Amino acid sequence: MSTSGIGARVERVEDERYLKGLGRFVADIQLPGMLEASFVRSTIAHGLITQIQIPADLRAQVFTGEHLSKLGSIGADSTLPGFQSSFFPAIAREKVRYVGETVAVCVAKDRACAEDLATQVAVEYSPLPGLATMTAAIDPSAPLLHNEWPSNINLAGEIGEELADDLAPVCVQRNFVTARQCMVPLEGRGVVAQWDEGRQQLTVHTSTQIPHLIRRALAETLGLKQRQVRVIAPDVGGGFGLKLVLQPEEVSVCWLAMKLRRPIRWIEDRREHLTVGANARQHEYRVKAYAQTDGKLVGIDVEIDVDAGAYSMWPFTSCFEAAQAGASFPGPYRFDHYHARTRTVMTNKPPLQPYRGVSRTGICFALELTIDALAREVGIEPAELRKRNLVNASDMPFTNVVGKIFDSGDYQASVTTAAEMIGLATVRQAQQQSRQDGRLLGVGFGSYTEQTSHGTKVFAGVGIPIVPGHEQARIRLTPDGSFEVMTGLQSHGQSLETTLAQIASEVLGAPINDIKIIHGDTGETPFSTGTYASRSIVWGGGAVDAASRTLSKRLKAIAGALLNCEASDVVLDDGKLRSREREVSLADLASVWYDAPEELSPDLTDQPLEAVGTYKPTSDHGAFSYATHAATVLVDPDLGAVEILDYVIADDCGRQVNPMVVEGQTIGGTVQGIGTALYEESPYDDNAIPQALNFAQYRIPSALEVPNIKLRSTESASPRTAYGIKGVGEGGAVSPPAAIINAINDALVGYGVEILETPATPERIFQALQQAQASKK
Amino acid sequence: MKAPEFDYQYASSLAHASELLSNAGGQAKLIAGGQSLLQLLNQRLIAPQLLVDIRHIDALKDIKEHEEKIEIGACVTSAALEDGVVAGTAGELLAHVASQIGYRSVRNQGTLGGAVAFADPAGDWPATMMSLNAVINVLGSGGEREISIHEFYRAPFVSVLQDTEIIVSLSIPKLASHTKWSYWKFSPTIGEVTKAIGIAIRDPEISDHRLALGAANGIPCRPTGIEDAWQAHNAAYADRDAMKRTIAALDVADDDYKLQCLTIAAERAIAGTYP
Amino acid sequence: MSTINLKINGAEVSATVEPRTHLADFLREQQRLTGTHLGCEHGHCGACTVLLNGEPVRSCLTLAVSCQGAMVETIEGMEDDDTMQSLRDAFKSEHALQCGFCSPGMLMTARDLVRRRRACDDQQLREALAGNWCRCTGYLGIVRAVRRVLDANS
Repeated sequence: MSTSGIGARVERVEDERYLKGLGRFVADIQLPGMLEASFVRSTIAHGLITQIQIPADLRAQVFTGEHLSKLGSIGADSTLPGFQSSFFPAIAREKVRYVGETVAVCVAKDRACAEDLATQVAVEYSPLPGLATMTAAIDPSAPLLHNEWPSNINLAGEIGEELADDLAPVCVQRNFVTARQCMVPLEGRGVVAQWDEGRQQLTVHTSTQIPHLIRRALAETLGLKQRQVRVIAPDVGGGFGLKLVLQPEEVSVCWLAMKLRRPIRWIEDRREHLTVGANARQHEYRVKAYAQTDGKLVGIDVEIDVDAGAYSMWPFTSCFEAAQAGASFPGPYRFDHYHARTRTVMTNKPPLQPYRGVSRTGICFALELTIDALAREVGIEPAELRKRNLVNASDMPFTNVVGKIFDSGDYQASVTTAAEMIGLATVRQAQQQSRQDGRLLGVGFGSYTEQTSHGTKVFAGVGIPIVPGHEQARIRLTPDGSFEVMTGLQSHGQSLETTLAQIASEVLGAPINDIKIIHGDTGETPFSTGTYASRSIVWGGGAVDAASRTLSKRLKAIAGALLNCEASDVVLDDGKLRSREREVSLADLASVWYDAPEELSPDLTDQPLEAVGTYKPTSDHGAFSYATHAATVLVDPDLGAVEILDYVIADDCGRQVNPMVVEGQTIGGTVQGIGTALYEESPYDDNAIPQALNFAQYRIPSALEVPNIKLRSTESASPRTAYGIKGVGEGGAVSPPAAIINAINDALVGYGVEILETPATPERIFQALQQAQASKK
Repeated sequence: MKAPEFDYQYASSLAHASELLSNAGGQAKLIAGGQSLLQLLNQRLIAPQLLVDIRHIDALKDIKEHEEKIEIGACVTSAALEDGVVAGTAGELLAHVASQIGYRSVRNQGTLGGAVAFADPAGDWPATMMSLNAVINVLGSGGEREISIHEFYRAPFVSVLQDTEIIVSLSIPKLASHTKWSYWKFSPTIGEVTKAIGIAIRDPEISDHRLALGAANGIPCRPTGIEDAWQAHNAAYADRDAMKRTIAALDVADDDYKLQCLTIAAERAIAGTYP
Repeated sequence: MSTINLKINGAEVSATVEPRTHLADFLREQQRLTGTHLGCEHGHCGACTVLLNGEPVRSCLTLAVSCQGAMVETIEGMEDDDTMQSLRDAFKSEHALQCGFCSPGMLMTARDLVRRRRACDDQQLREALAGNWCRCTGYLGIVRAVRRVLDANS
């Protein structure tokens, strides 16, 4: 029994240090003799490096790709047939392929001085045309990013066969575009590396979501054994996908630390982030949806192009996103015919990385706008059309058109709830009345189901070099009777220091303040592929549960001996082990086992008070979280300005370990999605030169732009996971562009115009209205 | 990103500041609140040899009330203006405008004189000063001079201020208490580059109708064609097409959308003076 | 290099600084007060907010050398501050932080708001917080937490 176990809305144990300014982030680390690094970055998008001039007196402080020429590629290949392999150097050699690509690295006593050096390095290029768009890249006359490839297409894929034009009486067709954007964790990336020549040991503090994978990648790239590398992710100031790949800078900084035998620190600044971090979300969709006249979906035919930038990042590869998009496009809907063509196209922009929601934000946008277009076509309320086509609760588990097997839940109910929360009927009435201030009211919905916590076969199926097997966790009872839990995951806002402790608390009965979660350090924790794909609470939680159960058995056996009862009669509660009559505290039990083992029989002392548990869900399909978001907006047609009046979410992520944390994840993701919907964009000019280099140009939502989002949750337990938990980290970011832009299009319906692009900036809306007006004349 | 190297001098008085500028051969920049300057320095977009810090000079923080005008020291902060250090109707307008500038922690340091001198076309103060017919009191190596705000700006980020000159204060003609004013600013999110600013001031008793537009593709302006039409109309003037034509003729909008935003700014600012 | 004398969190400090070093780097690198964070270094994100002579400022847009004679307070200097304690408690109970990177700056701004304006509506509250960005929480917990402290004070 535990009052802080699963389901308890308890305050977070990690809060105190952050609120006192005592968090320890990479940039907070200073080591004796440390030098700081600054990178010389390409100012052109595409070209050959003809010369790098380094002033003679700076040669000991400036290093180029030639210095690192013995290192292999830091990129990743997919095993999918047809995948084109590329060489991704930690520092560019011969050729640069995007603005911001590293060309040299400078070290000095501090960052300012290192930047001074960087300004003295003169790089000469022989420029090639910068390919700013996929259209430019696939043009037969386009120069090749990677000379050995037949074209700039990295991989093409196909699911199913082309659908017949006469498949159904109704067909709506739309093309969609989602903008390239940045993830913008408040803390950028950063690395501090230290090489111990005596011990032949590299210690790397890096702001990462995947310390164990980074260890593997650094060891392989630098030619070390993994035991020679310890990677520590200290406090990490947000990740969202930015920090789940091997970074070129991580490799360079480690190389420098080994070469110079001095600790080296590199901290990404915001200008760097907005330049080389413009690496997410850029897709194009061409959708045909076939339906009966009653709006019942019959089939979908979609072409998806993903702009993957210049290289394939390790380990998720350049083609992961397109593969996921093709497989996930059918969403939460039931229909029988599906055909998808996907292409991963390389351009002269930073390499694509998976951002919270990964491809699902884009596909939800394209699919849900198509659903609304269909609803208008057949004259059915969009919410009603969704309900007609969503998978039925009674059909769970349901195998969809591409063979994904949904586990549990009532998708239709989420639409009903969201419609009720947003006051759909009232909105429709209000739309009939003339408005005083000239602004247009609209309402929109966005439904999704998100495959979370998916497993081995799913990852193996997309051919990436890292496939998660069983998750591990270790737990130990300390000699003073509290617990330490070691996990190879990394918590950077997910609250795992609290929620994993809640799971251990559920099993071991100890209050969470007596359970310390140790994470993010390869030297202290068992291997894990890390924190991504909304997997940590399911996989890590399952492993902590398994380890706790093993330890619990041993503790009960010892307690049985101390309390003179059967082990099976012992209950763990509030830090004590109780029989019917007596009790012993964990502290006293630990004291006997560690300090007075002679009092225990050997069969109780030869079992460690430390256990490793392993876990994976019973199905590699994972657990499907789902939600319907709904928004009402006011559009000012004079300016194209949008105000979100109301925003509601009806969601379900299975059993909630800590409802406060679940809400926080959902609201936080939703606000990132609002940024995607309305504000965030990394534009490029025709030569692929980035145009948004500071926060006056790249906008993320502030408190002022965020509505009072209302949330109503149900808990449909997953039959596949420990405690029925489903993942929740990403879901919030999936629906907002769909819900908000559907609402905008609903507001604009009288103008005969639709916004089919993110972000829906005032200027885009204004231009669309202008075009609509012009075409009427 | 860190600033490039520069020297720094703390000016203990106006005369000292003036002397430091004169000796710098055009390679010095004044720093007051530094809220724009440090943004540029921290992105290495400028590289001055010397910064002359004038924020501590008491004479630049004075607010003097004269019969017809208020004289506001150049280093009075936006936060002080927001908190109402200037009395009267003009003071109310200044307080409102100040409250719309960026964030409080920026307003705590950013100064009126600094913002006027910086000449950011999207800034709040240049357009506001234009609507108020401010006069800029300047000290240079050759002594003091007064410059009308209407003759102050040449181009975005460029004014007639010489390298050795310092803005000492701004004189703002008072507004009668019955004057109606309205400040309308369009910025989809707070802190981004403003898309349009409209400031309208209406004194019905003397039939004074003023309109200033900011955040244009060019320096802030007073579209006199609209002011005249408004005055002739002598009521809530809202002929959008006419306004758009007037603004288009001023050549301050590079594209349709900027023209539209400025037109709406004019329309809504004027409407705002008829509560 | 210039020598400056100032008070940091109540203690007299004398230090030499390069003119180009901003206050945040001075506090973090030379004074090892790393609770003040750098999120953009160009004045937008607010992670570096500290008090200068009692008022919140962007320490990335403030030169250390210009702080001669000034009084600087950082998150580390707020141990005995009742308003800050109330805010910390409210931030915990309203889940107003996730990764915690923005929290010190957010708290410094929130403290100023609570002390400067006893009453304000939600719009004013959000405007006051708009210069401190949080990428994790979506702000609702932060707004609730600050509201809770404002209401308790009024």
